[in-house]
Amino acid sequence: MRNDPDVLRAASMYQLGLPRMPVSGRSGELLGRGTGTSLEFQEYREYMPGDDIRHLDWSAYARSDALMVRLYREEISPRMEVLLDTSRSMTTTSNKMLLAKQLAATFSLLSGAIGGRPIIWLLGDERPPRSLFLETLQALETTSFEGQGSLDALLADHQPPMQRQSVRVVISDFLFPHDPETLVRRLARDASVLWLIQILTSWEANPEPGGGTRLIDVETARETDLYLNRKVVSEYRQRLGHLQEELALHCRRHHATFATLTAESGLAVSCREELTQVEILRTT
Amino acid sequence: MYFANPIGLLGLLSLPAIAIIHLYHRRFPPRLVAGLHLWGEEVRQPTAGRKRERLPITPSLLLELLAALVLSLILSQPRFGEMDEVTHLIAVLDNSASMGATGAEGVSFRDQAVAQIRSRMEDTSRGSVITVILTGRRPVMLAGPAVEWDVARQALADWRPTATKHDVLSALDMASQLAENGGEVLFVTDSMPSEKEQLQKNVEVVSVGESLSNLAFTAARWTVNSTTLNGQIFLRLINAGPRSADVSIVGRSGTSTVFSSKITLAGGAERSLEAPVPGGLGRVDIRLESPGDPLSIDNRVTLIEPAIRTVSVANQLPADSFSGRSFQRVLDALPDLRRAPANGAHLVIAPGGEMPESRRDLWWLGVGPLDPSEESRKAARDLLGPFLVEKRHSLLDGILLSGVVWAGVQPVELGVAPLISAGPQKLLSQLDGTESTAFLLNIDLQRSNLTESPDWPILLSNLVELRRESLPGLRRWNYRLNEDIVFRLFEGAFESKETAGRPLTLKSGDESRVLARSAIVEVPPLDDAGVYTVLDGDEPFGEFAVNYFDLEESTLTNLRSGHREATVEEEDAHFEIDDPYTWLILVGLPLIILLAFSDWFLLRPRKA
Repeated sequence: MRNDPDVLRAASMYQLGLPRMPVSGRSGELLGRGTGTSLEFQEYREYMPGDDIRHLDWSAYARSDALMVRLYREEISPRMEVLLDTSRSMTTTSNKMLLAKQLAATFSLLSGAIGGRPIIWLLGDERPPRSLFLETLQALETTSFEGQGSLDALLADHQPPMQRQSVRVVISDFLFPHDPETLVRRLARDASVLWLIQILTSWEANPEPGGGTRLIDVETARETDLYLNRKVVSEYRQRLGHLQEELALHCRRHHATFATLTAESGLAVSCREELTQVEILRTT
Repeated sequence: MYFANPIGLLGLLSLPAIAIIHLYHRRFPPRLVAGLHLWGEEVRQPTAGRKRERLPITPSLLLELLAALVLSLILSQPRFGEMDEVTHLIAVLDNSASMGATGAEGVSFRDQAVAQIRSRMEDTSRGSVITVILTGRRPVMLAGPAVEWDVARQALADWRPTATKHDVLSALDMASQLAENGGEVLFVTDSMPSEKEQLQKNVEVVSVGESLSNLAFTAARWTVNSTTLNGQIFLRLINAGPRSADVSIVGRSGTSTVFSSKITLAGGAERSLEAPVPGGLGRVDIRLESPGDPLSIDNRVTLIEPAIRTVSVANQLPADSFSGRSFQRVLDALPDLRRAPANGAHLVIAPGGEMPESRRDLWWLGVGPLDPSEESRKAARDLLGPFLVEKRHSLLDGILLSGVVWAGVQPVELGVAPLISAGPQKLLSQLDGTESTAFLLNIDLQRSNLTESPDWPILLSNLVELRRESLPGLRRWNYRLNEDIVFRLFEGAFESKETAGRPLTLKSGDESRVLARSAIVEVPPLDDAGVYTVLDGDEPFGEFAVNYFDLEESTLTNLRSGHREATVEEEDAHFEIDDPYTWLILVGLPLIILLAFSDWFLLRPRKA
C-alpha cells in the first residue's frame, strides 16, 4: 500500500487540513502553543541559566550589554491516529475495501511527511486491535477485513487506547447499529482533531428499485427477502439520510468533520472533490 | 407436435412445479449488504400463519419456465414431418350417374370412390388438406379449396352422382390449376379413360367401376288427344347387358296403378311400350323393376300430363268467298284450334283493306285484295317470281313458293316490314306502328294458285303455331336432364304493371331458385331429375318434370376398374427441409443452457 501509485500521487498532491490553531505534539512542522525552536520569532526575554545559548541575541547584547534570548514559536508534529474499520461490512465491494486502505495509507503518509508518527488501528475482532506504523504500512495491503463486531462496541471496551491531543481519523461505513451522538462523543474525546470519513458503495448510497432480493447482512449473516420497490428503497434512503445527518450534526457539535465518500469514485476523485471540500485535505 | 406424447406431457408438468416452487420457496437473488437494519428488517413483524401471496413474476421464473418448455418440446419429439410433407389432395370425382351403380359386392361405385379418397387422406400426414371437385357440364367444387378432411367428409356424405354424360376435362383443368401451387390430383371415376384420351399429365386416375348389366328407360312421352282428352304414354327401355332380364313396369298416379306390364327383355334389346291413360291424371310415376338391377336413377320416370293449348281463330273473310273457303279448309284441318268471335280470338283473319285495332294480345292477318275495287284489282300485278323470302322468320319455315303465281299485287302504302317480296313489291309484310302482331297478305287468292300449292297449309300452320307459342304458359311439360326449358310468361314484350314486380320462382321439393322475369323465360339446364313448379308470385304458373335419360350412362357394361399413375410427378406437391427435429435439438439445447446460465446469473450471490 505504501507503493500504491494512487496513494503516492495523493500524498504528493495534498497535505493534511489541520487547523491553524496550535495543537500539541512532537517538535515538528506545526506551531505549538508554547515557544519552541521554530524560525518564527515570538518575543525577547532576559537570559536565564539553562537557556539555549544558540538563541542569545548577540546584537542586542552589543547594543545594551544585556543578554537577551530570542524566543521562537514552538513547532510540533501532530499525533495522527487512523481508526480503520476492518469489519466485513467494508468488503461488500472490493472498491470499498480498497478505498479504505488507500485512505488510511494516504493519511499515514501525509502525517509522516510532516514529521508525525502515524498509527493505524485495524478495528476488527482482535483485542487489543492490531496497529500499523509507517514502517509496517505495507502490511495494510494484505490486511483482511474479517471483523464482525462494530466500532461502537469496540469503543465501549475502551479499545483502542487512543492518545490525547491526537489528530484522529475514523474510516468506516458507519452502517452498524449505533447511536451517532454516543459514537461521536467517544471518538472526539481527547482528540485535537476528529475526522469521520464514511465510505459507501454507490448501491449503498443510492439503491435503485428492483425485483425481489434476498438481503444478507455481511457481518451477521441475517437474511431477509424483500421486494425492492420504490417504497422500500425510499424508506432505506430516509434511514440512511437520517443516520448521515445525525453523524454530521454531532460532528459539528464536537468540532469534528464528517465526510461521505463513494467507493466507486476512487481515491483521486474522493480526495479532490470530497476531502478537500470539507478541508480534511489541502492542496500543496 | 404431439404433447400427447407421454414424455412431452410429463415435461409440461414441470411448468406448474416451477411455479409452485417459486410461490412457496422463493429464490430471490441474494445480495450482501452492510446495514441490514437500514432496510427495516428489524421492524418486520412476521404474521401468524401462512400468508398467501401473489406469485412473483421474476426473470428467474420466466427463464426457468421457458427452459422447461423448450425441454418439454424437445422431449415430446414433435413431428415436423407433418409440416414438411403436408399434402394438398385435389380429388376430382366423376359425378356421372353411373357412379351410383351398385357393384357385384353390394357396394356402390360412389361409396368406393369416397373410400378411395378417405384412404388416400389417411395415408397423408396430419395437416394435409383436400379439395373435392365434381365433374359435370360445369365443374362444381364440393369442398374446398384446401379444407381439412373432416369438412370434405361431411360434404361427401351428401353427394349423390346424377349427371348425364359429360366431358371431365374442364374439371381436371380446374384441378390442375389448383395444383399449380402444390398438390396431387386424383381423378376417381368408374370408367378407366383410354390411353388416347388426353388427360392432364399430373392426374392420377383410379377407376372403381366394373362391368354390369343394367335396365333403363331411355325415353318417355305423354301425349293427349285434344278431342277425347285421353292420353297415351310412350316409353322406351333398354336392356344394356348380355343376358335377358324380366322387367316389370308399373305406372302409378298417386296410389292408383294406371298401367303395368311385365316383359322379358333380351340382352342388348330395346323395347318401346305404349300405354293409354285417361285424361285428368295430372302426373304419372313410372317404375321399372328388375332383380339385380344395379342403377336406380334410370329406372324411374315421372311424367306431367300436357295441357292442351288451343288457339282460337276468327275467320272474318266472307264465308262464301274463295278466300274465306280457302282459309277455312286449312283451319279445319289443323289440330287444337277452335273458332271464336273476333273480339275474343287469338288470331283474326280479315280482309286486308281493314286495319286491325292496336291491341297487344291480337294477332291479325289481313288478306288482299287490299283495295277490292274493280279498278284496283285490274291494275294489280301478277308475279311469277323470283320471290325473296325472309327465311329467318318462323312464319316462313318450309315456304318455297315454287311454281306459285302471286297474283293481285297492289301497292302497299303502309309502313311495313316485308317478309316476302318480289322486287319492290311487298307480298307478305308485317305491319309497323301497331301493338298487334299484324301481317298483310298482298294477294288476290282467287287469281293466284297459292292456295293450291303445298306452301298454303304450311303458311297457315306456321301462323297458328306461332300464335300458339305466343300464348302464355309452358310449351312442354316433360324434359330431359340438361335440356333447355323455355316458356312464355306473358304476351307481348312488356308486362302489365300489376304483375311486373312479382317474383318468379322455380321450386322442386324444398329447393327453390328465382328466375329472371321476362316475356320469354329461359330456365338454365337442370342437373337434377324431379318435378318442378313455377310460381308467379304465390300463384302456380305451371309444373313440369325433368327425367334422367342417358343411354350412355345407363350402359354399364364398358366400365372397368383400374389405376393409372400421373405421368408427371408434381414437384411442388410438398416441400422438404432437413430433419427439423435435428434443428430443434441443435437450437433447443444451447437455448436451455443459455436460459440456465441466465437463471444462475440472476440468482448468483452478489455483494452490495
